[in-house]
Amino acid sequence: MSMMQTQLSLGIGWRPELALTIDRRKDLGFVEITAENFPRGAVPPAIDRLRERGLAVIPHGNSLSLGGAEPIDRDRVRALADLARRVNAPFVSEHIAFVRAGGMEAGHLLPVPRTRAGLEATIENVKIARDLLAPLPLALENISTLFDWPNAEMSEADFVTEILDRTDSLLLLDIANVWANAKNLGGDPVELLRQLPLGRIAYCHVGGGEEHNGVYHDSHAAAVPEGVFELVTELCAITDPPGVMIERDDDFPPAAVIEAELDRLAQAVAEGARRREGAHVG
Amino acid sequence: MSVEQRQQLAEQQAALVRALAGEANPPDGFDAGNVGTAAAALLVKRRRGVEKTWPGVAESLGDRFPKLFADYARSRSIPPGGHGADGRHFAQYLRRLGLLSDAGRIQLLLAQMGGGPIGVAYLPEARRIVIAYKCFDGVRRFTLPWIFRSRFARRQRRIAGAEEAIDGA
Repeated sequence: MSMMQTQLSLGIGWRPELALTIDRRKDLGFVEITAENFPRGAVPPAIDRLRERGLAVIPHGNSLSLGGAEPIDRDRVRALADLARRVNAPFVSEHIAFVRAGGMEAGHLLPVPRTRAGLEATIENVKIARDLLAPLPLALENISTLFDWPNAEMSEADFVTEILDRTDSLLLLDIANVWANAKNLGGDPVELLRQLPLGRIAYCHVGGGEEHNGVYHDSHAAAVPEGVFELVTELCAITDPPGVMIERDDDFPPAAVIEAELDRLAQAVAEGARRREGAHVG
Repeated sequence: MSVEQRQQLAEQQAALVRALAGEANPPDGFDAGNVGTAAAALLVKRRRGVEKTWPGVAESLGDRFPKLFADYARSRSIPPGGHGADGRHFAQYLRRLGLLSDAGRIQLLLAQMGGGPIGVAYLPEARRIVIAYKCFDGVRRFTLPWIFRSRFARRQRRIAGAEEAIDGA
C-alpha cells in the first residue's frame, strides 16, 4: 500500500463543554469535529485558534447513511467537503452504517447486513461520496451494535476490508467498538483487530460506555473501560496508528478526569509501541 | 447490483428501523431480545437529545417527562433535523395535550419565528400573551396581560388555533 497517512498523534473530539480543557492541553495533535454541528461551515473561533496552534481538524459525519439501500444525498456530502475545506482538513470520516430507511430516521448508526447486497450498496454509495470529496481522502469507521443481522455471508473484518479495498478508503478504527462488539456478541477482540486492514488506519477512536443488565452500551457518556485501553496497547503492539483520540459526548466530567483519560491513552499507546519495538529487536 | 436486490435491501432496512422505533416486531431471524435492548437504548438517546436541546420543556414536566416522551416517540418517528426538530415536535405534542409550560411555549414560539416576522403565543400560567417580532438585531419579545377572563376558555381556544396556523406556515 502506498498511501501516506498524516501523523496526528494524540487527539480528542471537540465539544463546547471540553473547549477549555482542550485549549489548555499542549500535547494534542488533532481534534475531530462533528460535521452536523457546524452547518454552512460555521466553525467557532476556538477551533480556528487550535488550527493556528498547528492542530489538525477532522470533520466527522454521522448522517450520510453510506450503508443505506437508498442512494446517498449528495448535498450532505458537499456540505462535508465544504466544512473540510473551511478547516483545511487532511481527510474526513464517516461510518460503515445506515441511519435512515423507508423515509424514517433511525436516530442511530445501524449495522449493514453483511451480505453481497449490503456490500455492493455500501460500495456504490462510498464511491459517490469519495468522488464528490476528492481529492480529500475518506476514512470509514467500524460501528458498535447490540444485535447482528441474520444470515451474514462474511465476517465483519472481511466486510470492512473489501469496502476499503474497492473504494481505496482509509480506516477510522474505533477500538472501543471492537471491544464492545466482542463483549456483547462474542469473539476475540484482538483476533478481530488482526484481521482488519491495519495498514489503512487514518486514526483511532477510543470512547467510554456503561454496562446495564449485562449489556455494554457504547454511550460516550462514561469513563473509558480499562479493557479498551488494554486493547489500545494490543493494537499498538502490532502496528503504529497515526493518531488516537478520546470521544466524550455527554455527562461531561471535571477537566481533571478528561486529562487523566488522555494521559492513560498516551500511556497505552507508548506501552504497545515498546512491545512492538522490543519484538523487532528480539 | 440489481434494482430488485436494492429494493429488497431497502425493505429489510426499513423493517429494522420500524422495529427499533417500537412500531413493529423485529424482522424474522433477528434476536428479539437484543433488538429490544437496542430499541430501549435508542429511546433513551432520543429523549436525552431532546432534554439537551429543549431543557425547559423537560424540566417543567419533572418525573412525567420519560413517560410522556415515550408516548410521543411511539406516535411519531424522528423528524429530519435532529434533536432540535424532535424537541419542537414534542413541544407541539405537549401543547395539544395542554401540558406545555409557559417557558416551553416561549421557546416554541421563538423556534417557529423562521416562518414569519411576528408570532404570538398565549401563556396560561401567567395569563399573558407574548408577542415576538423580528428586528435588525434578532428576535425581541414582550408580554401583555390577558384581560378577557370572562371569555377565557373561548379565547384560549382561538389562540391555540392561531398557534396551530403558525405551525402550519
